[in-house]
Amino acid sequence: MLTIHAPTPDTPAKVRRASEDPGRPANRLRGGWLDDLTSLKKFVSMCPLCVGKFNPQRYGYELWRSIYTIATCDLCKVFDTRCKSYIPQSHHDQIGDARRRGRWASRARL
Amino acid sequence: MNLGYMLSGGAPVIKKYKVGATVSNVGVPLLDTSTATAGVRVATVTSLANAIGVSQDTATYTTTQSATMVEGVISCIINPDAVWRAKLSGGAAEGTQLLVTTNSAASAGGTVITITTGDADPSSPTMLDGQAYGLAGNNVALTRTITAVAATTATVVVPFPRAVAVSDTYLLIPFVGASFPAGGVASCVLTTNLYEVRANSDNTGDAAINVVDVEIQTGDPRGRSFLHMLLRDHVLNIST
Repeated sequence: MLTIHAPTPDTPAKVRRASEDPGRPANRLRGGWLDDLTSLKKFVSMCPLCVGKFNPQRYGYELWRSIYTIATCDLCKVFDTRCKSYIPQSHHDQIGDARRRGRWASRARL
Repeated sequence: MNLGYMLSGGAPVIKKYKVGATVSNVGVPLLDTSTATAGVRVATVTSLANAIGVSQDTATYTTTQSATMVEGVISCIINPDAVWRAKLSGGAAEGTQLLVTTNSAASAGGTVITITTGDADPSSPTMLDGQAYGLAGNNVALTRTITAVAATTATVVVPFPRAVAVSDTYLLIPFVGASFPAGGVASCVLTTNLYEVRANSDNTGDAAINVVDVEIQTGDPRGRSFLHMLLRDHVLNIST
């Protein structure tokens, strides 16, 4: 069957989608892929079904913010509006929660 | 710079984009992919044109083929309504304390701050449409919008409640919440490493932003003041 593709104009959003990273290759196991991401100190996002499989402290990671993020899960590659994201603890000062950690968390802001 | 909040209250959208140049720092603004480049780029200190967001990790750009090569990919928050909280710096280097202006001529009406020789010139870079913050003296922790500047003076139209006395010290900051100088076009200059915003630069003609608020922490106003800003020339804005 002949299919006619009508060209549509390039919009900034379409250009962005074209340059988006496809994520975990099909021939990579999830655990090994996660090991690679964490060893490169990457920002990691996980959907509600995968988040329980990740122990952030084991990898030196922490929860980025106590809010949901809209992202593609780095393990199962599903696009989800209720992801949790994690950052290496060494990135906390640059992009982590502005509030202080630990017992002072609710008392003052940095 | 760090994500402050969303103007619309939504959740941050995270995308992983290919890079066209090495991104060495976390929390720096990124620009759109330009023509004939492999991916997003790091902003410059004076340009945020076609911004796409702020980096949340780092990435290495390479064009060297290898069986074990890793393509550089950067995580980025792409919401055009994201309000970024950037610390204010008194110089090009990150963490520089904000510059102090010491008043040298009394103003009984509380409207004119006159610099002491050696202080920064309020008119170059201009502090017009910025704000004066009382550090020490009669008007501690009070702010007023600067409505006129000259080589040695900064004038506020709404007076401070008490006289501006000799030796009182003030911070002159080129930003104030909801201020859109020069016909609605606000801008800033970033520090060399792109983490912070310089408070000793003017607020027009450089990196395009919209000022949402200025957060001055009274415990350490010179060292812990922040600018809450939008990336005005964001590539995903409805109209860029």
